[in-house]
Amino acid sequence: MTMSVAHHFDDVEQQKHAATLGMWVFLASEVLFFGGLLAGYAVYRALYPEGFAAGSRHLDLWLGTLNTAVLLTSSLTVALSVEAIYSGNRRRAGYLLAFTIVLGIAFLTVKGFEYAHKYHEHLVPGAHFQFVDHAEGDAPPQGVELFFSCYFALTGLHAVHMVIGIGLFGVLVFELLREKGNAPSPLRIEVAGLYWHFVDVVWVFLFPLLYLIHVAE
Amino acid sequence: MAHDSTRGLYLVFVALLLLLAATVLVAQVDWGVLNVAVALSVAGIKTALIALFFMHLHSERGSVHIYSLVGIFWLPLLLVLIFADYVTRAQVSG
Repeated sequence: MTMSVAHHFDDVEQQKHAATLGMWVFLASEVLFFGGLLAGYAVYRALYPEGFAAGSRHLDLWLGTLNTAVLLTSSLTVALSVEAIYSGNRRRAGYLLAFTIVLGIAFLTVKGFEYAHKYHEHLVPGAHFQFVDHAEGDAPPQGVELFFSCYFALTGLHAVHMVIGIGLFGVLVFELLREKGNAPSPLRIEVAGLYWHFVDVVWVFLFPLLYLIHVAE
Repeated sequence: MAHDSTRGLYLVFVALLLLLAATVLVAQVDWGVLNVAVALSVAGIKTALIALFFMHLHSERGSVHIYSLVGIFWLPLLLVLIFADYVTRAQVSG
């Protein structure tokens, strides 16, 4: 796959380096974007360990594990797509990205069912929040509502990132699979891929932090 | 050569799924504070695999390495300084 070089770059190599470096700079700032929320989570979890453990037990571990596997698979298909476009296989790259979009939508659908379930259980923080722990029967531990505030803020921000990623891939799939017109630059696929892998990494941390607090007991 | 790198991506993927299974299984046993340590370590290993192989960090030039490290440098610093505050507050009031 040949790449055109914009006039302000010396060669393809320098252009590629600038593009990937730019995305890594953005991702470093994204770490702190999520980092603020994670710091809030860490402080409240340290202050209310019982409340966070009780809240975590009300999440569906099976759905969380399934969604983690779905996201890891979507990272693989993105990596394979980048591989395909660099070896000149435009169609294969397009199909792999299209499959990535399907996986991303599958993740968001499962997340949507989880949100709906939490809503019916009155676990959405606010005036209607009500935590009834049937196993214990007595008053809920302090901080359960804060756990669910963290849960919705962190997974919500993550879901917004996924929607953006799906949008980016949608444009690329269209350009890759249309009959006429040039294929998009492999760099655009690679840089959008970096963003998607980052969103995957965020989930890799959110999963144990939200779903795996004291599963035992 | 293209075939080899594709095979590498599949191997990384299998490793990621095994690590996912490991972290879920380990969480079934209550080891107290060790649970968080193990969970975050496994997440760290998964991140390293994704960054090095899926994000091609192993073949990038120096400045990209620096920026990837900047990302993971500031977050622990943020957490350490915040907890330096909260931990000492608890001692004063307690």
